[in-house]
Amino acid sequence: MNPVWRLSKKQIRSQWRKANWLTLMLSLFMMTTLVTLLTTTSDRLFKSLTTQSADILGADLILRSQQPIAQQKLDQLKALNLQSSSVTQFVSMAEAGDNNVVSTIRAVSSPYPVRGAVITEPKEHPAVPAKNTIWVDKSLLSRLDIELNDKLFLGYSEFTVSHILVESPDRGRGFANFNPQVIMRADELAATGILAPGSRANYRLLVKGDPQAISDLQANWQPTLVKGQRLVNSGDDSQLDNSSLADASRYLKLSALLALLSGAVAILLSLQRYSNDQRKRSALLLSLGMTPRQLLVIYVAQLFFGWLVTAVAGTAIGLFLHQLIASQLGEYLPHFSTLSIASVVTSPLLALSILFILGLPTLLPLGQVSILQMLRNQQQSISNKWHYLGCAALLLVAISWYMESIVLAFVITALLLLLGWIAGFIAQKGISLLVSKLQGNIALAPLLKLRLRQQRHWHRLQAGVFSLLLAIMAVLFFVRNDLIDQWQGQVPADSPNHFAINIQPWEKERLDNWMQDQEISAKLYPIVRGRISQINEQPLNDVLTKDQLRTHALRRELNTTWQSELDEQTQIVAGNWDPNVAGVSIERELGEDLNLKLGDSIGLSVAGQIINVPVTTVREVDWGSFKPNFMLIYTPKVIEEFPHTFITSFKIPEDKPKASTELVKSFPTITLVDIDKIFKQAQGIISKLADSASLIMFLTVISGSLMLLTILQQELAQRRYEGALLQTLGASELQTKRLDLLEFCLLGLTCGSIAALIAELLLAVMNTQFFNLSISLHPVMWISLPIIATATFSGIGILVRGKLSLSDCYGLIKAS
Amino acid sequence: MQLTTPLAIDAQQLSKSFNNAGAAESDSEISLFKDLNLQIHKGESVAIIGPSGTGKSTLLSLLACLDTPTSGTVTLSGTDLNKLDPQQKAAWRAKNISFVFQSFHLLGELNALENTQLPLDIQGVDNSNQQAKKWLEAVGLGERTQHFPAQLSGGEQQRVAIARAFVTQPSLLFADEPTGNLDSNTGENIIKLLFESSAQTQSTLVLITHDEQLARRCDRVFKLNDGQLQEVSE
Repeated sequence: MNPVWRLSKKQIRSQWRKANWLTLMLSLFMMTTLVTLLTTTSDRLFKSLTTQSADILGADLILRSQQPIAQQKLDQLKALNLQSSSVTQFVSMAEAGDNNVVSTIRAVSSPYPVRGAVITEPKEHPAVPAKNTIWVDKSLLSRLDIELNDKLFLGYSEFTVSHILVESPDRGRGFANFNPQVIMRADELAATGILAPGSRANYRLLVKGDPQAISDLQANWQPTLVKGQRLVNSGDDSQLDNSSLADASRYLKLSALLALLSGAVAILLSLQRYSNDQRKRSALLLSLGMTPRQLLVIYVAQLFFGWLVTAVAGTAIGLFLHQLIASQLGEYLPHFSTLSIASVVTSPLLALSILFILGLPTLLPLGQVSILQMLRNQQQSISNKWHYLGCAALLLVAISWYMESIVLAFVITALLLLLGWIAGFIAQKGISLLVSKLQGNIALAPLLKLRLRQQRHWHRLQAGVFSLLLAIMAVLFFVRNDLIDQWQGQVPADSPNHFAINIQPWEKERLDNWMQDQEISAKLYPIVRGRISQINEQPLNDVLTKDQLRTHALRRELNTTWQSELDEQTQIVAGNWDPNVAGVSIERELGEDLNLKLGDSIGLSVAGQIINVPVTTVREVDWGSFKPNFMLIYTPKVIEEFPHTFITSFKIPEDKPKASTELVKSFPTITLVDIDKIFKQAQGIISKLADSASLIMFLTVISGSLMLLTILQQELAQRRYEGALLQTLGASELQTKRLDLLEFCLLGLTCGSIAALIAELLLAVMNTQFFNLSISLHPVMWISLPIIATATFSGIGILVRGKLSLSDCYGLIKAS
Repeated sequence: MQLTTPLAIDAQQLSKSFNNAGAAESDSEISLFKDLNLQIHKGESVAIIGPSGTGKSTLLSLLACLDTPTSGTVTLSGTDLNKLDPQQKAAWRAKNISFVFQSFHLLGELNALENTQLPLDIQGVDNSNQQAKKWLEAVGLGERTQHFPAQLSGGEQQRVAIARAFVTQPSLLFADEPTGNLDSNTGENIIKLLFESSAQTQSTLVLITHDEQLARRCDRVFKLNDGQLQEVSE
């Protein structure tokens, strides 16, 4: 074997006993683990929600509509000889025995789907469910407490569960996804009595064909689309609205950036120390005739081997943690995409480039170590400012590549550095202030002051990074609690706890009677679904600005109602309600958004007609009241003739737990929404998301702590020397230990307090700006964060510091 | 020096040996010195000379009670420090013992004044600042109190070290090769300062050196050889 290789083999083996090398490897390992976890998770999450391949959509082209799709379109497909399938999707109750569950039901025509396949258990199944049978998600069976081949009710019809749905394309979008899914035959839908004119449902037409035919069809249909209709092509994902997804992805990338930056600092510091350690050895090897090039080969081999070990271990652990998170999130994602090789290798490759970007400039100068200096035992500074500037620039390039944006990488890095610097600066000032308060009160104060002066640069770095990490972790933790607490806190004790929707007109009287019998007070509101299409008898495009046209209420069908008298608690802001004059009462914010005044007329499109009536009143609406709320309330007779259903909300007292079951049994077509259950479901989702986010943040904090450890180690020799000198000059071992402990405690206390301050500010901003919650203070945080930070600093500090007995001191000083 | 003055250092039957890990069992202990006796009177100056590796520094750390002997006792001004608890021992040493080292050992981030007041701060003395200033003036650095070690020459750094050593008015001063890192001229001045200050504070001076000429300035000179001390007559 080549002597250089033999030597590097020996060196690689021996380095694993050196603390500096181990810290370097640990930093590299943590970075690889974290970035693997974050990259794979963000990549998969993003792909899961944005990929809309034909197999996932169940078709090549989908026509989505909020109204039944005209027969003419179906005829057209037949004429073009294109295969198609109709789907009606709606939310209703599935009921068995005493249990009922809100489910998302798809009534489908054969063949279904036209692309991809429904996977069931048992595997063999017909193209659509056989007569009187349905296919359901496994979760529905457990929630209804029934088994395969048992029966359940949908509306007035009874069905046998013939298959369990394992996987199916075309699940639809939005929150309906979270309900258990049911597939039934389209020709059995009418008999259930669930849907009637005016009921809420989504209609889809799934089309299969060769790309040219599909593209022609899309071009042909696009101009014919009416409001509430959309064409989705499986080959085009530009129409996806993924803003919340982008947020999640950004959060993961931000965490990754934090991990990369703190990892890079830890790697750079340990590399520097390692390189200083190697100076004598290098000088010796050079003096024995080795060339600088051979020396470089040895170190490159060593770095590469170190990377290989940490890359394998880090990627494995990162993937394991990813699976842990994936198992939490997977149930909320209809099609959890498979792991891509690219996302798995990103992290180790990034670690490799960072290691060499930082490692080569640090280790290269070892080839230039002067032998004379070794003989004289002189220290020579081998650090070069240009090296570090170059390192920083290359590091930024690597990070930009990862973030896929130079600007973003630069801005976020700068922002983090600035925030960290400010936190570090405040921390340092805070510590100095505390020490000046201690002056004269404790014996160690003067020494502590001197110590702080000595450690000031490191304190600033440590405090900056740690305060920031701790603050972000606290925000994640408390935001979840705030959301849940405040939501629950907002619900008054006598608030309704159930909504009943899809109440058909012919059931209204019977339901009123049933409610009276049960002594439940509930007001039924008629619902007519319509879309605002005119203002002052002009099309919206002519009278509204671009911003106004983006108003959410204009982009969907609204639930409107009519009343002869407004509810007692209604707060009228302007106008007078006169049931005898045809008019509409509008919600205040909608009025402001569209710049509507009393007397302006609003045109509502209902079933192909446009109803124009003037605005007669403006109301405040309390959206958190758990009662049916409406943007538009008409006076009687304006919209009464249109198809409508009814909605109501009511409270089922705790002493009548069976009432909801009885209601569903007596009125099978009604959809009953249990608000408590929805709360719990939302809580579950938030908790799981926050848990995953916290796990990621926790690991980021660990990598931050690792950097802390590296910095403490960096100063260890200096700290031990200083301790030895103090003890030689008359300090006791206990005194020097207390001095260190006091320093760490002060650092921890200050960092914790600053973190609490930053977190409180961030929480206030998030609660008011994003979640519409009120500002609340978190006294627990004010106590817990300083304690956590103090424990971390003193724990790591004392661990690294070790013991320094008096008898070691003189030897240590002599050796320095 | 009059022999009737009380003893500053009384070392009796002092032995120090180390475990030699890895050696055969019969050679497992290395004995540095055995049954060594040394009495030094208050105010006396004593030099200890000897070739490298004979254990001069180990002896110094035993005499200064920084280290504990394998057997035997060291009594300083009538007090057996090794019988005190660590806190009491540290307090006694802080008050009574000072050091001057070959490589000065000033803390780089502290200026001359702060380095000088360090021993007083360890003791928690109130007016450490004034006392330190006074001593810096005494060693001729009154104008350079705010300078940091890197801004001072070797001789100046050793002067700061001497000011730091005397600021506590110690009864015992140990100097370990105090001129080893200085040129002969500067070394001469430092030694002069050391002896003057020592006389002024009536400290007992124990000087460890290679330099026989320097050693001869002390009241008595001992040579450490083969684990035993031999007094060298003039």
